Amino acid sequence: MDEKRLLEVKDLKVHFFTDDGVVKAVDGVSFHVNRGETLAVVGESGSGKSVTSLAIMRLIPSPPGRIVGGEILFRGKDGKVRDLTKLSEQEMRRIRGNDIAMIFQEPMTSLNPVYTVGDQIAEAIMLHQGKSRKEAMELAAHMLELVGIPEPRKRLSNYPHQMSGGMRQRVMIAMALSCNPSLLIADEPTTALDVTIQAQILELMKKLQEELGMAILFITHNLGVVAEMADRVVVMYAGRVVEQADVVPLFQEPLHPYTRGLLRSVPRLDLAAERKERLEAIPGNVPNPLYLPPGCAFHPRCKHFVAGLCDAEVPPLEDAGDGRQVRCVRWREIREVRA
Amino acid sequence: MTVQASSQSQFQIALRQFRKHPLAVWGLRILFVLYTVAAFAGFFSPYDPNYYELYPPKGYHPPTRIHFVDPETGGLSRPFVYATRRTLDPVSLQPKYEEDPSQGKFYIRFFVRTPDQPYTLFRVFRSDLRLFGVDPPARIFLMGTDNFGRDLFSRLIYGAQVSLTIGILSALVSFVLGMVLGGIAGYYSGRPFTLSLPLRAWRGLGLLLGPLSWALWGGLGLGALYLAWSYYRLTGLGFFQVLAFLAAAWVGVRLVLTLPFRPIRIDADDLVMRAVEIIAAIPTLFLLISLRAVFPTNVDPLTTFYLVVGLLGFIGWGGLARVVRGIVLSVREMDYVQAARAMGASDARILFRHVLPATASYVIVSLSLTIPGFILAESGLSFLGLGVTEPYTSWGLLLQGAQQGGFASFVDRPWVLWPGFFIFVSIMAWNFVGDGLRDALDPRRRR
Ligand SMILES: Nc1ncnc2c1ncn2[C@@H]1O[C@H](COP(=O)(O)OP(=O)(O)OP(=O)(O)O)[C@@H](O)[C@H]1O
Ligand code: SF4
Ligand SMILES: [Mg+2]
Repeated sequence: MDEKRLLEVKDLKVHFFTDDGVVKAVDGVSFHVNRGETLAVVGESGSGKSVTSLAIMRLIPSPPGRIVGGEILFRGKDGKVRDLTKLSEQEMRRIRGNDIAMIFQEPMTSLNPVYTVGDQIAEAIMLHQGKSRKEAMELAAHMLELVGIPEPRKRLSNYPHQMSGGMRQRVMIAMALSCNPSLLIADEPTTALDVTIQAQILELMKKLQEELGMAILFITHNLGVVAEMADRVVVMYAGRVVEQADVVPLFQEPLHPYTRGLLRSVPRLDLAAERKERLEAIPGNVPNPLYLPPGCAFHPRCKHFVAGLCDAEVPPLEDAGDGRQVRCVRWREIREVRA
Repeated sequence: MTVQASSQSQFQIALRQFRKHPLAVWGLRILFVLYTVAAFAGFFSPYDPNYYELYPPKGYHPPTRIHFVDPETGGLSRPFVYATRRTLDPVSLQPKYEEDPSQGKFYIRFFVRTPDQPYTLFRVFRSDLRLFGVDPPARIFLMGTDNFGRDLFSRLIYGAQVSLTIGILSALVSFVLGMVLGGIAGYYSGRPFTLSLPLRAWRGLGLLLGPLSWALWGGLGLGALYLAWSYYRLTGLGFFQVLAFLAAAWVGVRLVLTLPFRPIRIDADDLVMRAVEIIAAIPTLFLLISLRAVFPTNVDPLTTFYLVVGLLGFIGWGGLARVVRGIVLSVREMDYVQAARAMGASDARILFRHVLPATASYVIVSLSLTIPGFILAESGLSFLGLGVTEPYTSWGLLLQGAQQGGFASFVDRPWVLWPGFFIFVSIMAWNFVGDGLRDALDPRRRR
């Protein structure tokens, strides 16, 4: 693995074996995260973003889910590269929280209501760092200060119900970062918060990334957030990567029709003023994962669809120059048509 | 940005709620008294529970009258009793006891020493100091005597030790069983355990576990065959014997066809819940009696005591397990459990730190509400002669003694019903405490 790379997911396949059939929630996904960068994963609901992140943590509920193929190469704090899909449960537990930490969408329920906030952060610290309870509490107070909670020492003895959603998400971040992980997976960390708090949390994450140097795998379907946070972007659709690019080229010139659709469905003041563009939603719905359309899974919703070409076989992920990748048979032609 | 709620712990809130429930508070006080008296039984009882006199006999002595008025002066005096004289009713041949003032007044004395009747506290401390007593030859029988002339009040106190602790011990046994089995059922529901390895998995550690699992299942199959065979040996050939053979043969064939090729996977949830349903489907008393019948009756009294505890506990765990399973099933899906797992917590840590504590309030309440049931069940068993045995005594056993002589005995010697009164009081007290706890711990019932 390249020295710069922290995480490299290769051809990952996660299937759910349900009573109704096999759900191929993640079907051959590849991407990588460099040290200290932020990679955003975007896509509509059900595109497999959460499943991908859970697979990296090896937290796929099993049964019915299973990682059926691929590799997840990760460079630990000790510099060794391991394939996470092959680790034992015990080895994996040492990585969770310590090397890779995760924060979730729901700050209101991600903390146990019966323990104090300090207790819960200290627990995470003691789990990995072999510190005494007192030292762990000390560090917990320090972490709370770091995430911008006033009077951190007093807050340690608070119960979660005594805090607001934004505060709790800060606590979750403090807990996740308490063991100084090299990768932070944030699965829609701000979706449940109102807009001002959302901005504060994003600001905080950026600040902490600068201070602590961890890489962030940022999962969201909010493209506004992507533009603000990400260095690179992976766009997923129906369990596959359909486009991958640095953030600026992606926003300037999206190649895949799905990405274009996503971008056009976001209000953008600058563009709207210039070109009097109307806001458009992508027509149709996300396909039922049990019965994916043949060929390009996006074809029933794509206005560039050509029968016999797009629905024949799954388009390969092609290199589009400048480290960009796109999964569309007609991307060259579409590039000519201005968005 | 935040609402700074009053920083009260859950415990303090619950305590305040509990105090608002007067019956529960009274229940707790009564229980405190009952358990204290039972713990210091030797101190509070005036006599050894098994002490009786051969001559003059004191069988079915009524409660001793305590006098407060001096017959000579007519004024108030320190409480005293008279010695009694025994006569036999010429018609019914029942003993009768009359006060005998000629022997003088016997004042009730406090903190007396009885060197001829020492006792041990908590099985360790020897003593002979008793709260109260009178000088012989007078006797103080606060609640009369039984047929041998043993002091019923002393026996009641010692019986309380057994009855009250059996309630708690059985509740603890069923609590442990219910928590562990319900917890496992809920936590591992949908994630079956593999209990045998097919031939192709005999690699590495499987080389050891494979044959082991086969031996286990093979033993099970052979056991079934042996059972059918001994059934036939004991009872001869018939329809049911053939049926038993067929069943055993079916189990055997299934095992032979399955073991080499497929793993046997068993969902702990299924296993535990089916067991709970089977136990629940059999009437409690019937189940108790038949289980008791399996064990020998002529074992030593202490073993019988633990046997009864075990049986009661075994019968009571089902309901608790079912509810604990339900709670665990829902907590398992909570975000904070997922978050803990993402922090690297192990299954055991999650189970003990996040999942089981969530069941705590339910378990505490149900524990306090099942204890009276166990006290009652113990009384029932002992009443039927299947519970604790002499020289131990329990309230049920005392009641059994009371019914000797038929219904007439209740009329002639109503004091033998005192144990029933104490069973009633302790059960009511526990029920009130349980109700109070439920209201205190359930936020929806808070007032
Ligand atoms: N436990 C499960 N059992 C069966 N299918 C599942 C399970 N979990 C996820 N899936 C399937 O995997 C697919 C991807 O789900 P995933 O949660 O990754 O979507 P997502 O991109 O995170 O969406 P969202 O934006 O709503 O969070 C979905 O189609 C879903 O049906
Ligand atoms: S392959 Fe065809 S259907 Fe799919 S995105 Fe490209 S043009 Fe649209
Ligand atoms: Mg998701």
